Amino acid sequence: MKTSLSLNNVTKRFGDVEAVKNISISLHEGEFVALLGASGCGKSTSLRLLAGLEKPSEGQIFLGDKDVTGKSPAERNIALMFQSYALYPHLTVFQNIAIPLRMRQLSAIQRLPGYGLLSSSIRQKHNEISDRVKQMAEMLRLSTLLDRKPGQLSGGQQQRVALARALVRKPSAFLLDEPLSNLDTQLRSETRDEIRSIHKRTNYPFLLVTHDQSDAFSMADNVAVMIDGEIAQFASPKDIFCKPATISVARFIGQHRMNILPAGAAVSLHPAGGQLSLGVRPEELIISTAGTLEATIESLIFHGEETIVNLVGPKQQKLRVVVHSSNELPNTGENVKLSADLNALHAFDADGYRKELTS
Amino acid sequence: MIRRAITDLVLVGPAALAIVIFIFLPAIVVILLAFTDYQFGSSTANWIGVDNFTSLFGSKIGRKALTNTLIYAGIVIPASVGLGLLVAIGLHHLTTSLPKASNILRAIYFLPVSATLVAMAVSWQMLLHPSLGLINNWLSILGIAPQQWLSNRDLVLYTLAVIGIWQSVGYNMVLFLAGLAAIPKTLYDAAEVDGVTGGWSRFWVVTWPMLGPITMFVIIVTAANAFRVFESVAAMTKGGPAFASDTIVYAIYREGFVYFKAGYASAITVIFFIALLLLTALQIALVERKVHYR
Amino acid sequence: MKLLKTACKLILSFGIALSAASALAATEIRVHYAIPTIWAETQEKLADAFMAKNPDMKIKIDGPAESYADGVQRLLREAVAGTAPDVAYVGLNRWRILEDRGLTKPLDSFLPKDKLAAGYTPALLSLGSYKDVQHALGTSASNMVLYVNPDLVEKAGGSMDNFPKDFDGIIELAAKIDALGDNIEGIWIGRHDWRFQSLLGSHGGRPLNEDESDITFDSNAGMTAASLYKRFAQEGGMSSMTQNDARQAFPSGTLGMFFESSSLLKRFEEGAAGKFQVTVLGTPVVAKDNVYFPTGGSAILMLTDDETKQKVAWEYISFVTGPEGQKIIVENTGYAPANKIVLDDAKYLGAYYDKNPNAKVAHAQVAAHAGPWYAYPGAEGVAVTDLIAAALVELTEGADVEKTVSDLAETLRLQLKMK
Repeated sequence: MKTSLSLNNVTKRFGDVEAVKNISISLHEGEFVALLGASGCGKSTSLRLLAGLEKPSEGQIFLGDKDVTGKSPAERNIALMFQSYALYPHLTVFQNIAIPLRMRQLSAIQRLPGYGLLSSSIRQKHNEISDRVKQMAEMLRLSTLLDRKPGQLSGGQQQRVALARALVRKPSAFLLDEPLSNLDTQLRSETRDEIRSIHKRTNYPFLLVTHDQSDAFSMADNVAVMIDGEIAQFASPKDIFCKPATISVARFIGQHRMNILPAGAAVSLHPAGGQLSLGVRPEELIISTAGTLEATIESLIFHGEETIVNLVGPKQQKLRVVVHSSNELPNTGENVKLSADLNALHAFDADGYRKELTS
Repeated sequence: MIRRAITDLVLVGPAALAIVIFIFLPAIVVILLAFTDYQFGSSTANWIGVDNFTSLFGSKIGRKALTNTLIYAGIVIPASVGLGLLVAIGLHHLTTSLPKASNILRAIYFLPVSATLVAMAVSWQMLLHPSLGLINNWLSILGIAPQQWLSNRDLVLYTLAVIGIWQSVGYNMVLFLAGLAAIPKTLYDAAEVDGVTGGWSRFWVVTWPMLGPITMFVIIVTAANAFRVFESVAAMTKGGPAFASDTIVYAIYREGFVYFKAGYASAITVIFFIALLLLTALQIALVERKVHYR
Repeated sequence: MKLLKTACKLILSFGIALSAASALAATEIRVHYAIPTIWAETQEKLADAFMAKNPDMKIKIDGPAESYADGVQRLLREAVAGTAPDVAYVGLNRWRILEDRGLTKPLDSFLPKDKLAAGYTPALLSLGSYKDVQHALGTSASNMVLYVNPDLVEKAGGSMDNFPKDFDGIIELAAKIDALGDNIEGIWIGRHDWRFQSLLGSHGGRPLNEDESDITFDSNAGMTAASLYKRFAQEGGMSSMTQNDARQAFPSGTLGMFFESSSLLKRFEEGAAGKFQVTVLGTPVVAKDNVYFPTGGSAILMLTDDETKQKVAWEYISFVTGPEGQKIIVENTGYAPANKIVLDDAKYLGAYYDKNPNAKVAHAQVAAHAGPWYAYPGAEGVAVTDLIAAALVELTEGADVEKTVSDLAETLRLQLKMK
């Protein structure tokens, strides 16, 4: 696959603060990558660096094999959809979608109203732009809304206008900044499907920036997990979930925070726990009489299809178990024994890096 | 139910009564007076129909006051709105690069707004004094002939206009600064991504339309003040020389309180009131339709 | 219309009615005056001296108005609201506004039989009479005099000993002073009704005929007087600066000669102190007879209807227009007196004139040529003075004298409904 957009060893400093620390990331043609991280981790800065809205303090940015480090967003021809959509409130839906084309294809004088009357070649261009806008509107079900102002649209409609404006020209890459965060649950899953299908249809390289792992996992081919300005892991969603590369990725990923038993205490789950820390997801820690880890139940929280059990281990470490059936729940204060499958154990060395366990 | 109504009346009554007595009643008296030859202080008045109105538009002095006011407003409105915007944009950018200097400049530009014009008029008179004033002294250093700023009939209105601009730029600047600060940064980012390059296109695509509502407000306020110009005229020129700087509101004062022609002054007041009312209505209609983007 | 007036009254009196219910001590009268910057101290002294002499009478001074114009406005307002004072000092050119509205009380029945013996000469009485009824008495007087900066005169090659006696000579000298430098002015005179009336009187002309039924300043005398404005500007290099500009320029030493009211003498002497010696000369007298100079200053008049108050009011009026009151006014304001006794009898002001020779020149001119400051009759009376001023501006800008003055006279006749 051809690399279409990449950051090479890029660092970005704001004053004394390093927002992005020496990261490298590549986006290939037809690939859908998600940049996943908690707020403040540097993912938005990375996106702005890719778009050209910020200039890196160090490192280079490549578009194909061209160095575009100093180039403006327009020169990079990158499309960007903003979290707030950033539609022009004074322009109609049609004019909003047409802006990127008008700016690229017409000079300042040619953009003046009425100029098209003077020259047939300009009229030709105007018609082309109009056709392309209508085509985009058709694709995003906006055809009936073209004369409205953004203030008259619902959130979902505004988002489709933002999508149309981003895609109306043929961009070299499409960056999406938290596209789903302003939508309700119902609209969210519809929009996920919509974005996926647009990606399939257009085959542009997509980069999704999000703090929501289910958005990232459900849409992207590959996910880059960003923690404290660095890329902690870049892999397929499945690998990230099943084989977290570091202890911090392991903690960050998953619906429930992973139980981590420090080296020493972990020996009761696996012999390697003497030297390595062991992590087990709460869903995979099992209460069973055959268990080897003793713990006391502190509280039970009932959530419907699952119940969260909070426990305290032998060395006062907090543990959590998620139980999916509701028929055989233990009681608070009870001492129980816990066990986990070998496959469910994640081992990390003293520096926090993953070690594969052997039986 | 009745008790409730009485309570409501007691709450609304005094204010309503005050408005009727102090605003509506005098306004009606003014409208009635406009059709009489009432002299301030005299005990009788005659109904003279629209004579006051015909002599306002028919007399040279009346027309002069009208045209002077229009010329004054025609200069002050665009200049002080334009300059206010220009200064605001400059200071807005300066806030990021030189925050201290920006704050000091803001205070300097705002100073004329907070100073009372009557007091400032004394300073202006000294600055503009034909032989002793600093301005003519500086001009003569530059080799330019001294000017009679406030007593040359061809110049006096423009001098007053410049003072009017000087006085209102700071206020407009503050309003525009607030407007600029309220423009979302992402709109500029979006524009950049969309290929809006260079300050000029950025201004036309984002800044100017986003300032639409505030610009309309600034124009309304500036226009209202420009059409009501009075203090600078009263304090510096008294409408002279030879009515060259006479304006509508000064004419109202002159006719009513210097000449004691209360009837005639009332007629001017009525015309002025109607004109301002029309202007405001027009502006409100424009604001609703064009600038609020819904 | 009656209804309208009542409504007016109602509104105006709404706020003041309560406060106006003053204590009606039988012997107290309320006095109004204007321009506290000139009069405040003098008014206190007059009231104190009067009350010391008449212990059973009391003077209560109202808060002063800023100017004579404001003062008349306030008196009219108070008259409408029924809260007018009992006695008022009014500008000499403004008492006719009150007379026109029937507010003044004639003083003839109060005046002594032998008016001359009391110091009220016919010229002085003329300042406050209209159609043979005495409505007011002058309390302080001023004329237009010529202020000179001797330093500039000498620099321009003139001399104070050989100072020109006529307007031609003055214009010639003005041109020489004007040539001294860019910011040096030769001569200046206000383009203003009163100044024009002064020049007119010097040429023996009058602005109005005897019964005030016609404009008469388009006479030969009027044309010559008006042409002076054009000549001052064209031959003497007079600039178009404003009255205020000129009043700053003269004491600063950048204006050579200045035709201005004698009431400004004190201010100019103080302003020029340490720079040059202000010298006052009389306005040149051109005509052989009929010469007069319109007199500015203030008049006092009676407003009260109450008979007991009228008696007290007259006592006060005769005190301030008599020699004792006049001495206080002259010494404190620098105005010329409006009573002959105080001028003739050196025991009143002899010492003052020894110290103030400039004041003596000015006051002598008042004594010799005092005349009324003509107010144009009727509703447009004040309005037309601005038309006169506007015409004078045109003259200084080079307009034809004959045409401008004739047109002006015609305009005034129409506006004052004389035709």
